[in-house]
Amino acid sequence: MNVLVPLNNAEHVVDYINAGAGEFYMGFYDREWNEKFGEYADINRLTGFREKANPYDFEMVLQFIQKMKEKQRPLYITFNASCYSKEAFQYLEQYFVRLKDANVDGVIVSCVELVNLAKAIGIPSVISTIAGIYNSDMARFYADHGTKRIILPRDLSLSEIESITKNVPDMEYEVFMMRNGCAFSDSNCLGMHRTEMCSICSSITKADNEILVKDDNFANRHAAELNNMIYNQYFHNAACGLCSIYRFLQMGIVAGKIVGRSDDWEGVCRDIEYIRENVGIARSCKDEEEYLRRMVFPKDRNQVCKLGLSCYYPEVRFV
Amino acid sequence: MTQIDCLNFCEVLQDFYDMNVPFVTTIRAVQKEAGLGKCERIYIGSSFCGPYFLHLSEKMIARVLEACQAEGIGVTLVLPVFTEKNIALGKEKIKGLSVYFDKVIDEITVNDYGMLSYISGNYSLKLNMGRLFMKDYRDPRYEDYFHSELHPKIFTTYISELMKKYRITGMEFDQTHSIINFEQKPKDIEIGIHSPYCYMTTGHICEVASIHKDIDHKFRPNASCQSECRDMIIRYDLNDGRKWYRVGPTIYFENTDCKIEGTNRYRRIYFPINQEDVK
Repeated sequence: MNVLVPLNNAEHVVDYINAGAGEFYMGFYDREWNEKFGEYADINRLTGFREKANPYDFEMVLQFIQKMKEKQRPLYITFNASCYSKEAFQYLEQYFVRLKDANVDGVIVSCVELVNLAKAIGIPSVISTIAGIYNSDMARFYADHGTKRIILPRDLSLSEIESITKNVPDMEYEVFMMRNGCAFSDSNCLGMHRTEMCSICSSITKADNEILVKDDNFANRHAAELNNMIYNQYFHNAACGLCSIYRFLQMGIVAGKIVGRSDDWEGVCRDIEYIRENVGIARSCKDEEEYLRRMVFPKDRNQVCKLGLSCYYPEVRFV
Repeated sequence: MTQIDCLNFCEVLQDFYDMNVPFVTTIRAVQKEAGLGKCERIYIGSSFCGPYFLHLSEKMIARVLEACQAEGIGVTLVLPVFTEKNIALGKEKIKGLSVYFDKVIDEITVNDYGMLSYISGNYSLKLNMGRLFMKDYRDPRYEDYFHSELHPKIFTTYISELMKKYRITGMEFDQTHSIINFEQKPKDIEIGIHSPYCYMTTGHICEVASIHKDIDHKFRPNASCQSECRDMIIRYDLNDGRKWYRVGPTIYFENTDCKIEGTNRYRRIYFPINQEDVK
């Protein structure tokens, strides 16, 4: 299982590789795009974070493709906005043609239209979590369209992931491994993700709320309010999937993704090391029990490893 | 402009059924509360939640369909995105409901490509592309964006091909903006507009479903539940003078002023989010 890392800091590519990065992904910004399609039209899901999440322009992306080839690390370019207009698809074709000329390893795309476009141009496509591949039927639909890899949503259980990989076997699968959790679905969270305001998930956890309970007695209200308090204060303050690595290796998952295109490089490096080290440990273990005994925990385990609330896949430890 | 009035009982049917009044009385009460004309069609099932759909009782469905048939009201069955755990159960449930197909239930709304392909291959009803296919951003916190005119991005060349391939006759949208312009829609497609609440985000982790779970089992994706969403909803105050709700796994905002342009006919699909208002 390769560690897939956001290429958000050119100065530290070597640090990432030394830490164990096996593959990279990156987005880019393009002012011409925004002039043409408007401030709220995204090239990728983090376009609204501007240079903070996409620090490089398209010309730089082309250079990175060559640099990463020298370092023998695949690089994928993200085109995973929630949706694109007909005119935007035509514009995106220009990028794809140039990426093909640069011999890019693949594009991460959010919709079937871009899978088709990539196929027509001859670029391998990876279907983003934004497409929401929640079951085997959907995986098969994209497989039939020729996608090379599926990034499975972070709100699937391990048994569901395993079932999809078995039912649609001729496919590469990638899973979420470190950093940010999401209380909703990447595929149908349609609020803005931008610098001006926090995302809607944060807005509602910080907002005053009123819980309307149908049978409003003390026990029901207490249960609802306590549940809401735990959700607002403790759920997914961080996100980690290290305990699930053994199972993912058994399933043949090809990549574990570190999210956080706008995060600091040292934190990203540390997470790469955790995954690399644990993949090595898992490979040398005879079973999951041994792996869970020997694995390396995150440095902040005293906060993160509590009650499954910061786990991508809590069922490993909290059966 | 021809507006066809419809009621959306997805996510809330059981609540209304539990009020123990004849379903026709319920329909009329909701119509009155919403200021609608005659209800031409109701939507049942779920747009957002697989477990909710699976929990729909056969007895309730039978009674509701009987009432609709007697009143000449059309019924659309709405299918959510089932995650892997529930996809086979979902198909089994659909098969069970198929005894009503072409009788009372005369169309199906699907919300993902997998189900679109499955339903199209196994049943011959008309198909709608549901609201989860429509992925234009919606966020009233960004006023300039919210007040801009939306031209939905779904109308691509690929979607036109898909419509022919899968016999799609309708598409459902949310009231995402102040103005939505459908001038780019394919000619034969009937537009449905969900009102007055626009869904903004949803997912497969349900806060409400976790109420009675131990803390180390809370907020699991696709966890089994006891339909706790029937017992509570959450209202949020985002200091913007707008109503925000959580119903089950979904967050909605109210948008009562959405102008529809570019089509001379559409379905208005009214969602009675809070049955307490309907008594």
